[in-house]
Amino acid sequence: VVNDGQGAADEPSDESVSAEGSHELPAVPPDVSERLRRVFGERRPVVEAQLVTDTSVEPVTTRTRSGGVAAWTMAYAAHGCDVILDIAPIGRNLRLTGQVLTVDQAEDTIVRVFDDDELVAASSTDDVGQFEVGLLAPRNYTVSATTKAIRFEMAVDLRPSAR
Amino acid sequence: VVPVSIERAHGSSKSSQRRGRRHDPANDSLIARCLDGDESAWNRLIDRYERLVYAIPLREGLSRHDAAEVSQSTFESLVESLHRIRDPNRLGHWLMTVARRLTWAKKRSRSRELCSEDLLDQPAPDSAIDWERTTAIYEAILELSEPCRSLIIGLFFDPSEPSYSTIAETLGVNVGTVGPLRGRCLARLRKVLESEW
Repeated sequence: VVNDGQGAADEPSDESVSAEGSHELPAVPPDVSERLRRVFGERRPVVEAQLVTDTSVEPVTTRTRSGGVAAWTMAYAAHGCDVILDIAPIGRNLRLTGQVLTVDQAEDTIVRVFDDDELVAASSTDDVGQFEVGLLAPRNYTVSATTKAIRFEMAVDLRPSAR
Repeated sequence: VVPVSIERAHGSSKSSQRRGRRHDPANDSLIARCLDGDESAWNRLIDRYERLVYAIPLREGLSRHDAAEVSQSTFESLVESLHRIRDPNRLGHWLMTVARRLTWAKKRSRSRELCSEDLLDQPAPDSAIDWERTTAIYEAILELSEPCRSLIIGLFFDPSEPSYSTIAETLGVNVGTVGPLRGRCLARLRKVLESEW
């Protein structure tokens, strides 16, 4: 195991991350390994959800206020799915919560937030489809909502300057 | 046989030799094949990285069950991101970053579960919900009989934070019985709370 200068000292670098044959890394139980292989066959078709509502561009009287800074809601829709995103500024960051409304599944929809190619946050919905992602920096993201059958993707602009 | 890593190796003659010797396809080739639906390429990526990913939550102290969940979520994220990966040579880092973030999220989630299991260890209330919960706890304590009521108040709500021996003296019991009694009283309190919530 080599310290690559970017991670913790005991983490392997990209020079050594090929785990095959390494005595430093634990063996993956066969059932877990099998699950990981099945992930590929379970990938969902992707549907792009479109922005249908953005309260930040509506008259200010319809918006809520959080600590003197405007919070806003964005709603995305695709066939069979609506995704509501509630954004509340917290300091320089934004707290993202929301709800995924699908015709066949509320619970355990996986919500992921990507910044370019990087996964920055992930969450799953509760029994009524609500989720909480946490704090994000104000920028453009791709948000995906993955149900058992389909994956919805939406381009989300969380820059207050864009509003 | 200990296969070697090919990451960051593209273009270097030494690693090209290694790659040729091992017939180990590069990440960019595997990702491209995955995007074309080639399951064998995916399995090759799993072979290459599953142990690395699985090790991260284990190293952070998560259970094997949670480590399996983190690993699965990490590779599910990869499936969703195959078309976004900008630098296939850094796929190992990409996976490590994702696994680490999911591990932290799992730890936070586990921490919240532990907190909710023992409401009395919650910090001072600062919201309406916490206040409601604290009020419910107080009311439940008042329903307890002695010595549980005095014991719980002494252990968790007395601002002077009396020691076990002081509490034992107040209750007129042996100090050695305070610990077991605490467990029994908390169980009774939990029953009261569960019946009311």
